[in-house]
Amino acid sequence: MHDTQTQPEVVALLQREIERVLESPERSGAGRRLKTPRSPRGGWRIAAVAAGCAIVLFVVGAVIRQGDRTPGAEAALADVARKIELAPQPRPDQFVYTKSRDEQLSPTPAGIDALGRPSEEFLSSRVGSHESWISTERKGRLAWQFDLPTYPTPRDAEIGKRFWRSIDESNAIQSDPNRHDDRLAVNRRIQQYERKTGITGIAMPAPVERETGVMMPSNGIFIGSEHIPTAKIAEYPRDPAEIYRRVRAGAERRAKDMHKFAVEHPEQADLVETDPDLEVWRTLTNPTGTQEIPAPADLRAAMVKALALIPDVKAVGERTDPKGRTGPAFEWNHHGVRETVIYDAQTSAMLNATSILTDPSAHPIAAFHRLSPGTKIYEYQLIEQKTLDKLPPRR
Amino acid sequence: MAMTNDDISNLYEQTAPDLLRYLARRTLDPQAAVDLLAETFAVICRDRRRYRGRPEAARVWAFGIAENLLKGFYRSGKIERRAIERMGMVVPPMSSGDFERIEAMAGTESLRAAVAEALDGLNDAQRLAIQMRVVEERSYSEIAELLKLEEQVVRARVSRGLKRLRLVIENDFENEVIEYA
Repeated sequence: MHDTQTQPEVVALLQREIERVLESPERSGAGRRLKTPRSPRGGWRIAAVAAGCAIVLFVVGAVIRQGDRTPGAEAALADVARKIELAPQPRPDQFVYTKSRDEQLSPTPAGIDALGRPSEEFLSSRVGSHESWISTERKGRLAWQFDLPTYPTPRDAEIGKRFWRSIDESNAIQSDPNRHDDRLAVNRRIQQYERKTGITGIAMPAPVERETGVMMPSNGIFIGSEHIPTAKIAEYPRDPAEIYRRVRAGAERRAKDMHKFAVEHPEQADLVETDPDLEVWRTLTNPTGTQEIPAPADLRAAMVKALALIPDVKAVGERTDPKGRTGPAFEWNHHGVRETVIYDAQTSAMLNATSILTDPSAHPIAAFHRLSPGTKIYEYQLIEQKTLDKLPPRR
Repeated sequence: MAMTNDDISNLYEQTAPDLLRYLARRTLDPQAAVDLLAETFAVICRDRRRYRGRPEAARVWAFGIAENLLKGFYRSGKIERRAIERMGMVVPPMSSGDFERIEAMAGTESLRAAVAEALDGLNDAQRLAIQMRVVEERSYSEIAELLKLEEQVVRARVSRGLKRLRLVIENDFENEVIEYA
């Protein structure tokens, strides 16, 4: 006899259910031909090791993942947020130094026909390195450099390189790290491209071997499409639900504008993305807005918690980033893309964020449909972050 | 002789607690263990007219069914429910105390702790390789590229790490060998 007092209730309940099923003639299987089970042998030992490798892999994986103890996204994000607020905060006279790298794959029309439609296009990744030294009062310095773009296929490389050579490079502007108007230089190049091609808003700067700019940081932060001046940051809500509502409302307005743009410019309709939740995800995981320009810890923490309000965001336990750093990770799948973000286990700094194509044919940008599943379309990597007592001399 | 309703009911009473413990230790998941137990007995109900062994040997048969279902679970990560659905069985929900009781009777905490301790005993390189291979399910070539190592080195790290962990798990499961008269 088993000690029913220590037995889980469900064992007895299941027995009653089995007996109910057996008593029910329509479920008894009478008259149906069934596969004959193997005859069991009596008197032999079933050793647990007979299941071999599968058990070891499963048990080890379950222990590392903590099995059914992995918290839901909301609880896990709350834990990440808590560590943001517990991490040491910079004094107003200090500067947060951040070094990071990102790459973004996007399509570029390589030519237009007489009707303004793209006649050819290529995909390339703009690879950028960034350094910033910024105080909580938004003083400091930003530096960035773009390397030559990379291409996902040889065909894209051939078209892309031919395209860039055809842009008038006699106007290429060499950057001077000590100038403060290099943003103008980049914009001037974009305007030149727009004049030549008639296509707006999609161009990237023509690559030179290195392009370095230095500019003064802005006098506030962007959260979504909303610019919050430094003096108003304290008034911005700290309630995750209110942040989500506000960011999403801005994203919905922008989605309507993008949709209108796509209707008015059908030749570029394939190049725009209009999902408001995607913009919310990008805003709440935006490294510039959340950690490189130091927003107050309670605001950053609230933005992390707001991620849980995007439907289907999942906690996926610990993940390792390309630099070998392991921390809590979260995923969100949408439109054939898997977004993943990994946070530092101690400080909750965002270590890595990626967008990986899982189903290229489901992506709204038609140019991605020919890519293979597993293609990376975006990556952000935090390389280094530390607090400095003063700005280093300009290089 | 085919199993009668009473035979199955008796089999359940005698076998279910051991079977549940067996399944819970191999899934580390009380809910999965209950679902697998239910599917095991749904199969037994469905196939009872074909059973030709002695009633006392049915226990071995039950464990054999459970082991096959476990293999399917390891392969696919999903629990087979064909027999449950075919028999119209409704798996009862677990009560709030069931979770802890199943963990306690199965001793899964001690198994987890033993494996976790063994994991801590691995060197950092082996632990990272196992994390990336077993948990993140990356291929060996992907891990090699990320860690800037030869693929052979990655395979060796995973293999050596798992060998050490296997000893812990096999040692623990040795205590559960199930004997039949």
